[in-house]
Amino acid sequence: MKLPKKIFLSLLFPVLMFLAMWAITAANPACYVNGKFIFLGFDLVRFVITSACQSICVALAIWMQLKNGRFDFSNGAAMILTAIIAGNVGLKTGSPWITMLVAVVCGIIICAITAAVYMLGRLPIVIATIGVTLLYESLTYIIFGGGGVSTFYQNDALSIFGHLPGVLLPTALAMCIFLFYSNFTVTGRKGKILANNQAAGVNIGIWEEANVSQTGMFTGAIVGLAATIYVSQNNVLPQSSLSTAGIMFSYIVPVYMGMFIGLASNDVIGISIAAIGMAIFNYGLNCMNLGGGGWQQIIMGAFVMCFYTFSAQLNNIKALFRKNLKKEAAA
Amino acid sequence: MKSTKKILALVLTLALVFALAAPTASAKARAVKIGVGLYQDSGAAVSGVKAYLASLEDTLNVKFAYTVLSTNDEALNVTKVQELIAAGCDGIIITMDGGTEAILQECADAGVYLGGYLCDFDTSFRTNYDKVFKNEFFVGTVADGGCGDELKRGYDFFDSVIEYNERTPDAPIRHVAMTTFPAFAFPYQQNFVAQFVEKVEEYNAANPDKAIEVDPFNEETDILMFRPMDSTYFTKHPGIDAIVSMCAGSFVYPTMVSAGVSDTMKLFASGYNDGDDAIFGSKGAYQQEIVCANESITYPLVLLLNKINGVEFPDQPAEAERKSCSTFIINSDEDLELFKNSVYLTFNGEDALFSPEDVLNLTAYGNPDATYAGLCEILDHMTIEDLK
Repeated sequence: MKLPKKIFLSLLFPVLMFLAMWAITAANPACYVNGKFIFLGFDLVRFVITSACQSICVALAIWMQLKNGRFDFSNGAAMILTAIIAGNVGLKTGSPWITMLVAVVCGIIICAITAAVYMLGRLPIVIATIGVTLLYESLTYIIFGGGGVSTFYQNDALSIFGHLPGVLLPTALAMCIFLFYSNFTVTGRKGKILANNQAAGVNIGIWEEANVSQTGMFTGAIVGLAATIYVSQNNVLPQSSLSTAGIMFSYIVPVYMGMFIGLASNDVIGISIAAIGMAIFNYGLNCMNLGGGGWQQIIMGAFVMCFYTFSAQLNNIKALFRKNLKKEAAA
Repeated sequence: MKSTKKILALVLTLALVFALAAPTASAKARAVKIGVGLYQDSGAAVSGVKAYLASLEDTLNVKFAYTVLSTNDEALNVTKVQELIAAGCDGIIITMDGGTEAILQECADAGVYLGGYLCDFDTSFRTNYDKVFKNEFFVGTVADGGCGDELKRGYDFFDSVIEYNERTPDAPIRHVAMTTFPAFAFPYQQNFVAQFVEKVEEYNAANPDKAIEVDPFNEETDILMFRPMDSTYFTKHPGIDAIVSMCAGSFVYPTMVSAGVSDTMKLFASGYNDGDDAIFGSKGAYQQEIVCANESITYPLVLLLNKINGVEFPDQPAEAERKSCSTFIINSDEDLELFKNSVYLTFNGEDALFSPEDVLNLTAYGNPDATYAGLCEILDHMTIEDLK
């Protein structure tokens, strides 16, 4: 595929989303305040970038394991635990850079533990990751007095990685780590075979344990960067009863959408584009006062379902179009 | 001889019977376990109330067990109460009016008494009074502030805004917008909005040169569904100097930080969160926080302990009541300094408004002269002034 076509197809989703939300909000009286149209403005840019950056980091962490054939339920718990540790260290040291460094190191350690449990326990990935999720969640009630971290985001000097322009740095680092792993490491390249057929991959000599351990460490670094953004934007409380899985799933939409959009380029760009598009969608819903509660979930769910259906049936749709064109040509 | 022995035996027996039957005000109360269902499991308020209750354990011979209730899942609340009953609680204090009738049924079946804290039980009061407030196993509740029409929190917010303007004549607040929680959960917050607007209109009529503009309350924009305020709030309320938030500041402040307005915009809110002292008053955005003293739990606790020990106040009302409670209205640096010395923030029972002996003296078994009126009176003395 030629480069201009790749760029066009990659940008198609967010551009169409922007145009669609622009048209919808322009027709909605709720989007006018004192006669001024509120959808277009710097708030849109700020919301989309800060929201998308968080989504991109978490989605990349999820996708890194998924493309190696493993669904890791513990990414959410790892992120929360890392956020609490790094946030409290940041409050004590007063440095956002130390916060990010501690977050990356903690993320790597925590994900390495997850990888170790999976390898040594010889457990199915779902069982292993749910088990460590419960463990990590319980730790959130123990460390630092079980109070989570609640004042980090309120400190303007510490929370620079949660707002423009600082939020771009951890996101860029996460994307670079992902690209480096996928394209410049042996295990990253071999991981594609494991994703397609784990048994066959192992049988032809791909050492899954090396893949698991190295993927775990790279995922941990990305989780640490995601935690840096998360603690800079949110009040992080201790979690329990697999609630962190819900936090993780709230960022999963760009993963599956990015797989489709990334066909025109690569998965990192696909996930980023998908996250940006969904952030524009959410902002538009917020402008129409549909951003909270049930309506947002319903609309979001319906849109995502349609997208997945369309992307899954794209080949059949293309075949149908070709068939109809042939019929018309024959006629 | 035989008759002498019989007489002696009779006298001893009667003495033993009277000794057991006579209520002894100075006798140590039996060991009791009280369950407390709070609305969250972490934070300053939770740590403060746990520290206060822990300080009472030895003197009152009470152990406390804790759980967390749900704001919207009544079945879960019933389950949580069942767990407390199964854990051996003799009395339970809850902070939610959700599933109360079912909860009381569980308590009645188990012979466990129930009280309320930080909740006016408004839904039960208006729609299910007979089954809740007339239930012998319900001892009553103390609200987070006023009850029903006694709630004038809108006026408190107005007073705080005026006090701020008087303190800062160079940069007064002239344009505000408001937020509330949904009416199904906090029905009286809409009254607060009306109270605030009423006072502003009176003020503007008397002081046209210092008029304060209040953005009309927009139910679609200004009601927070227990989620942080979304960033379009500031786009929909352009040019405001302050937010008057009837709900907790923790739902508003994060969005102010994200939008980059926390340095310039002021926030008047309810509740207090860890770390707010660093961004309060002259240091930051928060200009008012309203908090109910942890020690207000003393009201249901004393009533429960009386019931469990089989005693009553001589002036005990026939039906359970819901009581208003005075609050800490923190709207200046000086108020904050006083508040920082309370158990709410020190987590030290010695900083509480009441010592363990004070609480024992409020009970009918610890003090034969104790009265219900005396217990209710303490609720009027939980203000910032009482911390001095």
